[in-house]
Amino acid sequence: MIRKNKKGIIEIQFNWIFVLIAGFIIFLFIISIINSQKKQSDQTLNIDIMSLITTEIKNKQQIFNSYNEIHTTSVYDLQFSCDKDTKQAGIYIKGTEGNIELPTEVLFTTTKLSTNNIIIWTSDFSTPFTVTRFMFITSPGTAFLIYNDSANQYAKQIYYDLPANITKIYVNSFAPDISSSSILKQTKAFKNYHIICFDDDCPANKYNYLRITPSPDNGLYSYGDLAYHRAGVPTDALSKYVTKSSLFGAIFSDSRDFYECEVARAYDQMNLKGSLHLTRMKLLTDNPDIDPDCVTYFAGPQAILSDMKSLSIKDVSTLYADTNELSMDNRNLEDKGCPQIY
Amino acid sequence: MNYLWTIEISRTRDAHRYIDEKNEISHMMKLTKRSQIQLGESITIIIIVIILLVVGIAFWSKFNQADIKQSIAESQDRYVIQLAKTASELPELRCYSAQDVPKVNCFDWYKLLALNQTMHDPLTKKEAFDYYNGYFENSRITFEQLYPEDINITVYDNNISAQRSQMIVIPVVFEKSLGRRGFMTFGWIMVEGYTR
Repeated sequence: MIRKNKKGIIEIQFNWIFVLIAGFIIFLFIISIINSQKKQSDQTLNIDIMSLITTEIKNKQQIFNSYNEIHTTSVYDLQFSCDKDTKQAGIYIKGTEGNIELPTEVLFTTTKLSTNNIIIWTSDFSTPFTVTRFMFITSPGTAFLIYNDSANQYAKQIYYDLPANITKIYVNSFAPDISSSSILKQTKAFKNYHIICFDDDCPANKYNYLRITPSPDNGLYSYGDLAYHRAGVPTDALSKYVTKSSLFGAIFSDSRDFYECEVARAYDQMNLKGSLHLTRMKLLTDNPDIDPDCVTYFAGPQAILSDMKSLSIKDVSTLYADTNELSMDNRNLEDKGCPQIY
Repeated sequence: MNYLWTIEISRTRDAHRYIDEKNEISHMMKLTKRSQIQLGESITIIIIVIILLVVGIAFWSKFNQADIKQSIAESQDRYVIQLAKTASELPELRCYSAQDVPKVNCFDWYKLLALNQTMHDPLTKKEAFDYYNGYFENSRITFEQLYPEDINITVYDNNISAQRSQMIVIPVVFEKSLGRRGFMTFGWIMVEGYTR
């Protein structure tokens, strides 16, 4: 009887151990399935978000002078990059794998943007033929403080030309130290702010700001110098802008390197598209059906288009002059009943 | 007599022992049988659980695969639509009015010829292809004039020995402006997106 009881006890214990082991294995298996599913769904969601954002950015490039907002369910940390050596731009979203390249899109933004509401504004970069569509990316948490200039003209122009939905503050009374003014209270409501000022009407050295010095003879949206000032650091080399869209590119960028890298990419596109227009003009010149008078009018624009190929970011005054001349030639050709340049 | 009685007792004891041993053996056999049955039950349960798991995983992976296939097909559709949109909006190919306003669904024929020449000229081919590859990736973009005569211009082709391609056709007009002697022709843009 004792032997039988012993056997019974061992049998029952074995059953329990078996159940425990089997249960544990099944439990582990289920947990691993849940974990892998969660990981997979998180990854899918991140990829979806990344593809949504990049697709939206790419799509917005097709729309001329548009204002758009991309809303996401949660806050995402976006990082924009532009390598000045390879001229490769890309976007990276924290939490996702890899960097999505933006080979043709030229965008100006702060290199790091943490938001659930991405604002995209587009504007054509034309010299005078449309080169590309610049995209300006920001968030509602970023404010643009525009310091009034002593000439009382440029700040207002920029203030009114920025889209209404972008957070902009017009600083009318000149205060070099914003900590002593009510502006500081306003800026505290924002994650970050860009200070835009003109010539010598800029805040104290302890603030980051962008100083714009437009060409005195041709107005704000012609060409000029830019200085990205960093708090407590002597202002580094000056950068340049030409045309309105390039100036807004500088305003939306937070560093000289990023701005110049994107502008260099735009110049590459300008060279390629200038070459296309030049080739087209040569094809038209060789066409036997074209009016011989038109061929003589083509000589000037062809020379300008050839000249534009060698321009760099520093040659803003030449590019501005060439742009105006080409635009005038285009109108003249239209008036004379000839095919246009672009 | 006493001797006989002793023998009888001894026989009875032997018989009892024999019966006890027989009982023990039969009980042991019963126990072994029960254990065998229990072991069989346990193995059956394990096999059933494994079969259920395998069937479950097979079903789940099949549905998952179907989901993945569907999402790939959807993303390919979106990709081709995006390509078509990009191709139809390229500013360097469109026609413009005197006020620099783009004309709807209108392409300048000489701009197309210029692009075609640039894309096939050994000197400019690489730079142009690299740039348009950023827009069109693995696709073929063909502008076809249908009237008054059939002329094809394939401005971009990056065939990657594709297994399948999806195509979108957009009707357009081509402006052949030679100044006052300009005229319009009809045709379409064929956008083919290649997928492996």
